[in-house]
Amino acid sequence: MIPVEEALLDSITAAFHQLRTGKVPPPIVIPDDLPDNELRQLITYVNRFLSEFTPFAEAMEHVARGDLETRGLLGRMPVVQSLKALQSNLKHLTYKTQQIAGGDLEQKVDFMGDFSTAFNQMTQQLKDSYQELERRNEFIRKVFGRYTSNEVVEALLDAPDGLKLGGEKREVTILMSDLRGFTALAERLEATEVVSLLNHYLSAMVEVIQRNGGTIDEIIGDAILVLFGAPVAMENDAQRAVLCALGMQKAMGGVNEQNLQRSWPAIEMGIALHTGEVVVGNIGSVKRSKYGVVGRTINTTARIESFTVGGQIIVSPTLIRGASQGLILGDEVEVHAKGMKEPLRCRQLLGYEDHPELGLGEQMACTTLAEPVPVQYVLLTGKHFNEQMEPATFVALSHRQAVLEARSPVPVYSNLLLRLEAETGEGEVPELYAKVIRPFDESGNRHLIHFTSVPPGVRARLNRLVGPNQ
Amino acid sequence: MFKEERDRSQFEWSMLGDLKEGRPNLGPMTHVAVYRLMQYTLRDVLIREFGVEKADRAFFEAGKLAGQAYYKNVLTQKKDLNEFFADIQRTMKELNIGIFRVESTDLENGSFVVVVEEDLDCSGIPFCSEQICTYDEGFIAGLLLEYSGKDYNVKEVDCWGSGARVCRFTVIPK
Repeated sequence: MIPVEEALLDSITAAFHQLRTGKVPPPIVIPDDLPDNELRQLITYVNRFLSEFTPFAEAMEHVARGDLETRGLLGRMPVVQSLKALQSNLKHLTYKTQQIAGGDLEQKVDFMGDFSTAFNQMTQQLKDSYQELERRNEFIRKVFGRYTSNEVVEALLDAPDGLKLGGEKREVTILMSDLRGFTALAERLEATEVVSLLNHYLSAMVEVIQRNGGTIDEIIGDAILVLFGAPVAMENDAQRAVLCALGMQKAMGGVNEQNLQRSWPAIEMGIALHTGEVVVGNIGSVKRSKYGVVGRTINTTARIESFTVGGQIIVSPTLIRGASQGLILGDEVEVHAKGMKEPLRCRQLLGYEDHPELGLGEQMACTTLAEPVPVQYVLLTGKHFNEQMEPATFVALSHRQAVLEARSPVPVYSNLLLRLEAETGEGEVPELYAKVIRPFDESGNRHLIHFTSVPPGVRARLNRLVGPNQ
Repeated sequence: MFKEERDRSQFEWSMLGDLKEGRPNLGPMTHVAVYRLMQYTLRDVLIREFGVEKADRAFFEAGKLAGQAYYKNVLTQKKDLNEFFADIQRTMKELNIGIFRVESTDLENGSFVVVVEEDLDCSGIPFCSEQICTYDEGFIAGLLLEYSGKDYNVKEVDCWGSGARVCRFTVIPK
């Protein structure tokens, strides 16, 4: 029998009691005089166990708190090795999650039981969602990217809630532009020339529109319909529309310079700006649809646009209110439209105070002619016109405008077909088109008209009458 | 070719032969024990002939050569470090070499901690208080040398031989 000191047995019991209650027991002191027997061996093993278990318990606590950087664990106890394996796996998962967070969705986890399956499913799900998002973004880029600025596309992608393709009512500013007299001009040019001229003109306009953050909703021939405020509404939609319209008119100078170099005729454009409520959304059938707008505001803008002459911008009262201060406005233009009890009191837009470089200036003044030039005119109303020509004269003239003296008053904003008297040797009676801008004076018979289409032969004759500087 | 004297490596991937043609019936796979049979008998003889240090050196250099060849002939995704590690993980699993995992990366210092579970060399060997995956150390160093052009100190800090259940390697640029 081995003699046993109760105190030693008590210290072993106390050590295990401390372990069980979550405390860290100190090593059991082995008396020097304890013989080298089974009891010494037992206490030595208990102390070795304590020295391995204590750091293990601390490491467990760290790992449970999410701190994976615990100090190295020693010993061969399987429980210690299992903890090291768990710690390693958690570190690896942290690394994998960081890679996924960095955008690498190809990361996979293997041989971690159900966790691997769940983790890999999650990654696959993320990948699928990301690809779906990319497909949607690509769709948005395709649908809108061609017709709007990068900024608007990015705003769309950043704020998917702002895009309701199903349709919604919202206030937008509409810009509608059209070339004056282009149909007549197109008939005089070769088909390839018409397309080249149009493409050249449209390229210049689209560049200005995109620079100002407009979204091109339609290009029909020479007419452009631009939205400000859809698909993405911004604070300064009206101001941007104003700057865009002025920029487009300014860009026409460059367009015509190149036209001249290519022996093409000069072209002129009228622009209308109007702010109002429209319905926007993806409009069309399942097979073919596009983001577009409908509503009375569109019709009103078209109506305003029909009152413009070349080089002119007409803005509606709602646009003027929306653009706040800074607009430089010209004459009032009363626009009558179907369904409107009162005419819309629009104004000619001449510039923007903060951007003097975009000012359009006044039209050149007409020179009084020494001898009035006899002409005949007829009012164009819609697609039909009265063939009965009325006699009149040009009493003053510039390259773009004239003062027409008729026998009776001619309605303001009416469109006219004019015929000059044929000169000797001229085969055809020279014709040109114009719009009545306003009464010229109190007489009631004199009207300021703006030429909307002037064939090259007639242009040469007007140049001779006006002189090179007018 | 195989038995010429040499003072620099003449190893080429083609030396592994055409396994399809050469082993039409048995195929390319063999038992892990057979691989270890060669590994540990070779180690035994090398230690006897040249001592532990030189034997370890031989295993490290052979592993490094293998890592370089593996990089050139097996790995395909090398665009960035994460892709490279993922490719090592994938191919080592496919070839039943081991379960490669990255535990942590310190990109600022270019150092890493990687582990290999179920390692071909050591998983399941008797406890010996030794880290014995010297060949793996060289293999990892060879992979990274080819990837980055830099030499790395690869040190095994945990091994099945030393009582751990995974082989853990610290990888620090020289």
